[in-house]
Amino acid sequence: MDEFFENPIFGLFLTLAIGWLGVKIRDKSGKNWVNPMLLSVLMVIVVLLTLDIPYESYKKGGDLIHMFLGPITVVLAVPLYSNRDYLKKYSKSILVGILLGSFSALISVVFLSKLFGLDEFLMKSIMGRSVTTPIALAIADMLKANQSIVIIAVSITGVFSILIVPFVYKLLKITHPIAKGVALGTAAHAIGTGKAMEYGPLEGAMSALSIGIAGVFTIVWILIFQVIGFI
Amino acid sequence: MKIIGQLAIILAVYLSGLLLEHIFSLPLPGSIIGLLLMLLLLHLNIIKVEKIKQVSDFFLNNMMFFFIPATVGIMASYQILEGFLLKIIVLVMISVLITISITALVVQFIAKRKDRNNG
Repeated sequence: MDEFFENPIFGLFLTLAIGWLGVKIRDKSGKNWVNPMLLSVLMVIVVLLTLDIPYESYKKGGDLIHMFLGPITVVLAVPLYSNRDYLKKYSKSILVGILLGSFSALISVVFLSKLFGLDEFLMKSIMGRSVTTPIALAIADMLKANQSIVIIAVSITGVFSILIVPFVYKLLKITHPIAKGVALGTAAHAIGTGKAMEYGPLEGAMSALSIGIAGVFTIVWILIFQVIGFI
Repeated sequence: MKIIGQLAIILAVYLSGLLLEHIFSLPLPGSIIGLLLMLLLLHLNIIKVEKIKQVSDFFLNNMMFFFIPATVGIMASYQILEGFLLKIIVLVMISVLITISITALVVQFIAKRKDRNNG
């Protein structure tokens, strides 16, 4: 039977079936804070543990899906390109905002990790948390950190961001649609973009184009941190 | 056939990114070089958005699905998290608050100044 589960098609099928089920459950629940990806992950883990299937066997099929994250990173260029007219008009505010936003995301993780007594490996595993998952995984790779931890940190980031953002915008009197969209895309990647779309199409477009820029800027900051020996 | 061609274009740009990283020993990950390369090719009109639209929309709309296998990997490494999970959650929450606030304030400050100068 072990051989059966070693077949990559098994892991591929399990991920497809449960991935689809996760989205169905989210849609039926009608709650937009339910994260279908995390739900599916839990269900896959339960199935593997119940049937006593080793993670390595599942991974053979999982890797077939995982390897597409590279090409997915490449197509992040498309929303950026499609919204280039907005970028031109407000280039200074968008670029400076994302540059400082990405920096604040990284620097806060470094200082809070020290404050909370996390070791360097955990800190590096969380550093990519504000950017979109495929880029966060590339960052984890660069820093030789743990890929599963960064995805969980990215997911917490997304879920928490959309919960707090209405209060933050009210408290700080953020009313400009460009600011609302760019901050959501920079701080909360695709999940933030979903929220930005609720504010309006302009906010949504700004958020979508910020995802790719924030990913690239974050990587550039990390390279700078490495060169100056900060991390 | 359309879908196959679109996928081939996207994979070609991705592989070029990996190749450039390898040949020039660049510090940027190959996937990011691929993103920048794609942006350049779109900008220069060498690749038209319509030529990759369906496949890229599929990837972007279903992106979360592709994260499942790597996240399931937590099974194999949960011991690292033991005793730290709550700290990590609180850390991420504080960091999110800081990131959203700073980005929104900076963008609004500069954007409003531009609006005033123009209007």
